[in-house]
Amino acid sequence: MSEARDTIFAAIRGALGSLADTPADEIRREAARLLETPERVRPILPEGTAVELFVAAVKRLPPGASVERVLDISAVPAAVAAHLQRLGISGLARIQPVAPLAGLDWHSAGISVTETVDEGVAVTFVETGIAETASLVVRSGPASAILDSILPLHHVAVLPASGIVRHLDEAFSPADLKAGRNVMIVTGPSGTTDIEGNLVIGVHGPRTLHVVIVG
Amino acid sequence: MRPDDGAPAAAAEGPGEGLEVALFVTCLVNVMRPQIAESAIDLLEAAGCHVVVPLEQTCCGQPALNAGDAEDAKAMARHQIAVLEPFAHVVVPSGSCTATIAHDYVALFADDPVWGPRARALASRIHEVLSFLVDVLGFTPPPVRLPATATYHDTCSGLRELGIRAQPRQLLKSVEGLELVPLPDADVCCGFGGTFCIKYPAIADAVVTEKTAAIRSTGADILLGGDLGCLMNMAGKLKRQGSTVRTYHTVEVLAGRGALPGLGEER
Amino acid sequence: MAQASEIVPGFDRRTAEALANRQLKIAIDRTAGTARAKRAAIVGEWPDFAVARAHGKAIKDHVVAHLGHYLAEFERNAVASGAVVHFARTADEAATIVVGICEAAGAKRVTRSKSMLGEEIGLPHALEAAGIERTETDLAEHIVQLAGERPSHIIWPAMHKTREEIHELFKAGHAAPDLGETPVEMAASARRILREKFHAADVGISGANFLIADSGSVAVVTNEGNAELTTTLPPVHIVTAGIEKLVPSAGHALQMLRLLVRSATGAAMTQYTTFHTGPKRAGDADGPREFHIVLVDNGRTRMLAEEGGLRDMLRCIRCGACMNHCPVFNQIGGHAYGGTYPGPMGAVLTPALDGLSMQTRDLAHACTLNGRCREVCPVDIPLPTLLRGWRTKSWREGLEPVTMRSGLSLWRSLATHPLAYRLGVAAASLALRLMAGRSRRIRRLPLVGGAWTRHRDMPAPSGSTFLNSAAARARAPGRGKGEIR
Repeated sequence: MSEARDTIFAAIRGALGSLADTPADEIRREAARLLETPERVRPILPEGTAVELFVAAVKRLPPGASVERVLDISAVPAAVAAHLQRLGISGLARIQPVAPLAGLDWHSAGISVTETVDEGVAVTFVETGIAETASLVVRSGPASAILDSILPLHHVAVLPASGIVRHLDEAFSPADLKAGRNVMIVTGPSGTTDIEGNLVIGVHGPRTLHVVIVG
Repeated sequence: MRPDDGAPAAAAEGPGEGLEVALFVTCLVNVMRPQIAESAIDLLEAAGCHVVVPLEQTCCGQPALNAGDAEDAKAMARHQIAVLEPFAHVVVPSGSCTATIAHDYVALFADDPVWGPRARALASRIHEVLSFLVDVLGFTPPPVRLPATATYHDTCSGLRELGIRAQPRQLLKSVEGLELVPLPDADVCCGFGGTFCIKYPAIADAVVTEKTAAIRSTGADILLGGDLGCLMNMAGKLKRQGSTVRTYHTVEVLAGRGALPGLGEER
Repeated sequence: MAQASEIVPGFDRRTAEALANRQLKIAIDRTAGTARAKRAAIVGEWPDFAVARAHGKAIKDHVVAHLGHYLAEFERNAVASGAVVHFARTADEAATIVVGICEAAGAKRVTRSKSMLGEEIGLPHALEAAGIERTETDLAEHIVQLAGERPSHIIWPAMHKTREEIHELFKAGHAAPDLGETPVEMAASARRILREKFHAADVGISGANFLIADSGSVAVVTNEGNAELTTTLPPVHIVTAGIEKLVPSAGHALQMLRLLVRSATGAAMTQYTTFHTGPKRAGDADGPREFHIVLVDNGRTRMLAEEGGLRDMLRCIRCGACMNHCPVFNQIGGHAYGGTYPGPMGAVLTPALDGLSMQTRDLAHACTLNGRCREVCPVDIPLPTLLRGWRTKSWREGLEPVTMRSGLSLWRSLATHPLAYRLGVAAASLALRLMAGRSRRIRRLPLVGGAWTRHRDMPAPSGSTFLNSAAARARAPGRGKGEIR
């Protein structure tokens, strides 16, 4: 296949002519310049703190997205239990084995912990949220499977208030991409409008996404 | 009153103040509806302009251009440039022909050291008539009376290539008794597209059928616009449907001819 | 052997069929109409959207101008992250590579998330020919697969299907004779059927919305989450992507995303936006063991060579806004275009990818040049100019009909000889007036004019031509409008 590679690079060089001789430094500077004034190319956000904006943005998401705020992480299990009760489903959930969640008292809140996540309930910990779009930034890792946010029918995401940034372009840094296999920005529950433009939630990922903001 | 020797009248009052403008009438206006040219002249003269009609004018070449026939288009363009460039201003009662001369000629001759500069020079001096009246002359037409409801179709080339949208609506305010009702999807193409409607008649018919449904839904008596090709397309369809909507070019109504027969109507 | 997108001959026949299909029109109006309204609403909320759009254009122009640099940087970083990078010059070569990876992995079953590039290279056909079971997981692609058809829109591949038609397909395809008729029930059935396939797949194949050069990452966006299920569950993930999908960094990609999602669906953000960097790492909880990226040329370097022409088309971020706003697409739908891509962007790309021929030349001509497509393009591609460019090429290659050539030749002679012009058009004016008689309207014109009068009346000329009257006044000055010179 290196023949194909050589042919393509040669064709590009031939097509671009003298542009192909631009020094790499100059190209990088131009690319950096294009990122210099992000505020010029952002949609206008209303007044408010990042948390307030996040909460307001959740309300603009398709049905199935919800949000609440608790003061301390110890209140999370009770909040999750109440949420599951509102959904009318049993208190069986996969709790992501990450530090902030692992030490919480799920049992007292009436939540039984299971390994199974497919079509069930999963509670995950998310470090970063984006107020502009009410999005969560999910990073793959040893204890955070990407599929924890995709396979369940109901997803609860625990998000520290301090982790909420205002703008989409602040979601992650270049180093984040290299640091892990996947960075996934999740915005609301899954859905499709493929049948005559009608919105149907819960295909193929979660049908509900509940965000518990802590702090 | 004009002296018999054909010399221009004394400089009239008005924003035009004796400004000399050449009128490029366009093929369709020339053949199908000369009163559009006459109305344009009336308005320009009322604004104080001295209007000249260069007799050597022909076709801007748009049919060749749109067919991909660059050579024939260039030949017609060179002719038109030579006929029109002696004038300080050229005014055209059509958005699409204006756009052809103002934009496409420049692109056609971009690499031509002789015709490129001449095309660019002409481009800076040619205007669609409604835009000229408002944007260049700041003209308010003398009031005329036409008690009726009208709806306005924004022709695509005028709208998108020349930015013509506010000007006709502003000018029409001087027509007493005329109520403008908005046309749903006014900025959606009527399906004329020059030779498109001849080459792809079934598709064009589907497009104009939706357009006439929108026109009829307004309940307006009158349809107005700035390009005769589009107006013929819509009027022709309206008449085929038995509609009583009357169709005019905007300048006709502004010049007080809105009570005369519209496109395709009997006296 | 794979077959690149097969052009179905007969544009006129296909459009006639489409125009006669009332259900198609209903489906188009619902989908494209909703898309237009939602896009208008969300763009209306952003007063400086034009600034963001100009910026998006600048980012893409920058990448295209330095495509070799970014392609090399992407390859370097992707390989460093553990990906295997392949290059394909043609559609066939690309499909062969993909099938080869599947066969090397011993794959019997693959899942696919939506990729128009996959359609372009004929991947469905290639997988079938290799005896590999292919499951489309995007709901619309699943519908289209059950129907044995090709996508008809790049964002809503099944927009030509009504709910009733989908219901019939699912009852049979899901073996669910009692399936309910609501979209919720139908989607739930699809979720159930496809969940098994996700888990059973040996290979997952996706496209790419962006290729991130400075990290070698691949960005894939969906609303269903099917891409994550397709690419994370199986042990092998293959990406197929056109080389123009490159951007310098994730920051640039996020700025483009704001334009892409608003233009495509009228939302602020897609539900799932995933950046994949290499295969599963030591200690990862999930992910594919092998991560392959197939970078495809298939005519893009030829477009690149046309500066001021088709090079501009490489900015396209595949949002679909152009077709949603095109009056022609809104009447004939996507299949009538006959190629992989429909609408204005398809009319530009199809001759570029499949060659200019009698079969593909229609696409550039079946356009009113109204320019709405360019207005809504988030990267300001001059689509009407590019379509006119194909007309010019088509003319030069002699693909235009003789009647048109001789007609325009004659017209040019008249238009460069003013006296002949005035007399010629005056004769036409007289003929039309005679045909109309007293009614001022002509209901049937002969020859080529018949195409006009088949559907609408032709107004009669109102009198003798303006220039003839002007010429008469020039000879004998009297009352009249303007000075004749």
